[in-house]
Amino acid sequence: VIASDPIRAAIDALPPLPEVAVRVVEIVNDPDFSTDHLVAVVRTDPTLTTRVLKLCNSSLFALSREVHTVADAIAYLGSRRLVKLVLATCSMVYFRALDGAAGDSETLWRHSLATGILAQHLGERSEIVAPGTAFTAGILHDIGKVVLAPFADRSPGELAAATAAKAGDFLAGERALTGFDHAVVGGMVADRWQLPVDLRRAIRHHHSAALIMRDNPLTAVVHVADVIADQLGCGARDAFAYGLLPEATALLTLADDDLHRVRLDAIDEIERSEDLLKLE
Amino acid sequence: MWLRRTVDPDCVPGVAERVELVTIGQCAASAEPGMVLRSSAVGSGLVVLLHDTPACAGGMLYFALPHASFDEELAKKSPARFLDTGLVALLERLIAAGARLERLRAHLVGGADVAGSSFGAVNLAAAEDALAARELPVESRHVRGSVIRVAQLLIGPGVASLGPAPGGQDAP
Repeated sequence: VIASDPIRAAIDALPPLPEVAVRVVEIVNDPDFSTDHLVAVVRTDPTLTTRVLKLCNSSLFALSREVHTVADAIAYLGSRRLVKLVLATCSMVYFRALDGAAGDSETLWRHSLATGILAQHLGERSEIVAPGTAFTAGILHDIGKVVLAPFADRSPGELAAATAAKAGDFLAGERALTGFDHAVVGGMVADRWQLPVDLRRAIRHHHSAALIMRDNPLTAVVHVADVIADQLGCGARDAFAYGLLPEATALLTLADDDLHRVRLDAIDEIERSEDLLKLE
Repeated sequence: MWLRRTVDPDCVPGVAERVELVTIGQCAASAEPGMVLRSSAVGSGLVVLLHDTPACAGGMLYFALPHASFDEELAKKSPARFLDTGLVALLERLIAAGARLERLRAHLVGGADVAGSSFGAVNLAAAEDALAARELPVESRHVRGSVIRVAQLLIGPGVASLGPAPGGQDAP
């Protein structure tokens, strides 16, 4: 087991989520947010603005004309897609930093994007969680794995062996190797980034018992999105390690047909997001 | 193990550049020897592989839901989203490519299980029923369990191969 200090040091060493991303998260927490406010916030970060405009003008969106301003981007993409682009761009750097024995940064990034997209659709469907907040929680829900990877994946097969030794309990495998699991570490990262409280809880408790989810529908959204991402083939190394808690779907008042609709609606978007994997 | 032979298309000279990716909600067929049809990662969804060896024709359907009745408008635009309409579309393509219905053999890949959800099992049962209704024999199954898979079909020698999802779990 790794002493806790190196893990805490790794959390401290993680670059902070850009201020602009934190403010965008706060804005989209309000379902009736103002697009003018959003434009003003995004424009405060010239580097991010440049990257977002570059993405807007890439083949990813195949726009009929070149976009030169954030306001144009909202006009052509819509504010919701712009928000996703901003948050995906800000989050991507953390997953890109994974390397070495972890060796699955692309898989984890794909899973995180898919979970974000599915969470957004679940938010829309359930009508009790703001879709933008749901996307943010989904894309960041496994951020703890980024911190734990150097400690839990020091050699190929180490984490798999530890999980097997714990009767297939992935979180217990992580704890056996590092003293922490990725959900708890993700919660610590979210605390350090001072994310909104519901986001912190969703990241920390997305694998937790139903009673904890009951206090926070966002946690239930992330839990369900995480499981559906696995079902759609977008699983990370812990794919299929967790069951779908019926309490989560009940809290969101989602029946099987609602989940089918979310799967169908999200498929195209997930496929398109594959292009984001290739972007620098 | 459902494999008749394990082939990595990347190791077959001249084949690697002739790979067609079939993602969820899509189907594809080919009668071009050496062509590889490869699915994107498969979880609880299901891939149906069909192959007519003498005709050197094969196809792949990666459906999302079993029944088009769920959204008939969508099924008209994207039949491969659903097993029933997707299978018809795939069979039409295979027959156009020279395959004969009575010679087709099927392989099934996917249908992985999540505790608390019957999604994978329902997909698998629907595929078995649909193939049985058309008297299409299933030669092999790599299904259920808690595994992410990739299905591959090499057109020509009638070889279906299965590989691990890139960066994901190995198939058992």
